[in-house]
Amino acid sequence: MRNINQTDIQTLLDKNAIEELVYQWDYLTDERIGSDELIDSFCTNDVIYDAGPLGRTEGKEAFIEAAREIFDKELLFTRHMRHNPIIDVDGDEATGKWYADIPSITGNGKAVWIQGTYELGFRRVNGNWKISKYTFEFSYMTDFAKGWVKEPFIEGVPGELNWQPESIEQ
Amino acid sequence: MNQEMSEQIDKKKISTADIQKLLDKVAIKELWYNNCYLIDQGEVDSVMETFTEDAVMNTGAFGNAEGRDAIREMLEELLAEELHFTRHMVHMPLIEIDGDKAIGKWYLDCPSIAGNGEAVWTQGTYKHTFRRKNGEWKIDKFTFEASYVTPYDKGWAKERFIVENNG
Repeated sequence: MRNINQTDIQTLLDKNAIEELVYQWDYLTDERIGSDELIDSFCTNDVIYDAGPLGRTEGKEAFIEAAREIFDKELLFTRHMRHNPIIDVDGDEATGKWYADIPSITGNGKAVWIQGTYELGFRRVNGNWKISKYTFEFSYMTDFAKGWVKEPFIEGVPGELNWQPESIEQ
Repeated sequence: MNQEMSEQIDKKKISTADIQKLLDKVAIKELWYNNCYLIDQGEVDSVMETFTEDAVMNTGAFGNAEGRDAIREMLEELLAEELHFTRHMVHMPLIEIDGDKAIGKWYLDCPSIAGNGEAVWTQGTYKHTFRRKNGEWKIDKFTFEASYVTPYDKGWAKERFIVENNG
């Protein structure tokens, strides 16, 4: 067993703080408290957002606009359930990775399953962790009635499921 | 650990063993989460580095294997023939540490594509044992018990298993 030092304990506290920050962010997103307030208090000014087919932005204002568009028009209901957290802390910077499973309702009232991988960046600002990078890579965004083989991405959302159907012997 | 810090911890009756346990729990969780990401990317070589040489794998209908080479073979075959797409999402970690040994338990929810190209939901329980070797945690025994492996279109009441399951 190696010696425990102060950095080990600080890292544990930071990992815990970052996990709670992100889970709080998800609950508030799903409750639709308003993207302005949420992004303003949780993100750095230079936050980068990239969710592939849903858009890419730089800076708080652009992120707020994109989030408004998504949550007011494209995803009327969401439940962001995150799993498999891996947080790496390096002083006042950190990264976090999660899988997410997100039952949602689209703008035209369709139930969809979204699954994918979040990779986030964080910076400690005045002692508090803030989100500096927010990326999501979709595995699928499928119609609940169809599933990820028949229709991995609903109409209007470009994407492909990463597997090789040609390898299957029928 | 410096004297001042030890004194502070002792005042609160937190021992260094308690802190070590927290660090070990985090290390084991991260080991397993990282393996889930690696398996889903088909990176079996990297996954195998986290197993002990004499590790045992017991997954009921998905197969059983003893020793790292046999486990590698089994995983490669599974990913090539029976699971074309997987997203291993694991929840509710319970980790028990006992010195250089540990047990970890998780639920799994795994959207997948089966060998016949059908979308399936897999749900089940992992119960792994770990051993600390040269300061690093390794998987000693890998156990998975499936609750269901059901076609997406049917669900776990109509067709609990798409394949015969002995577990």
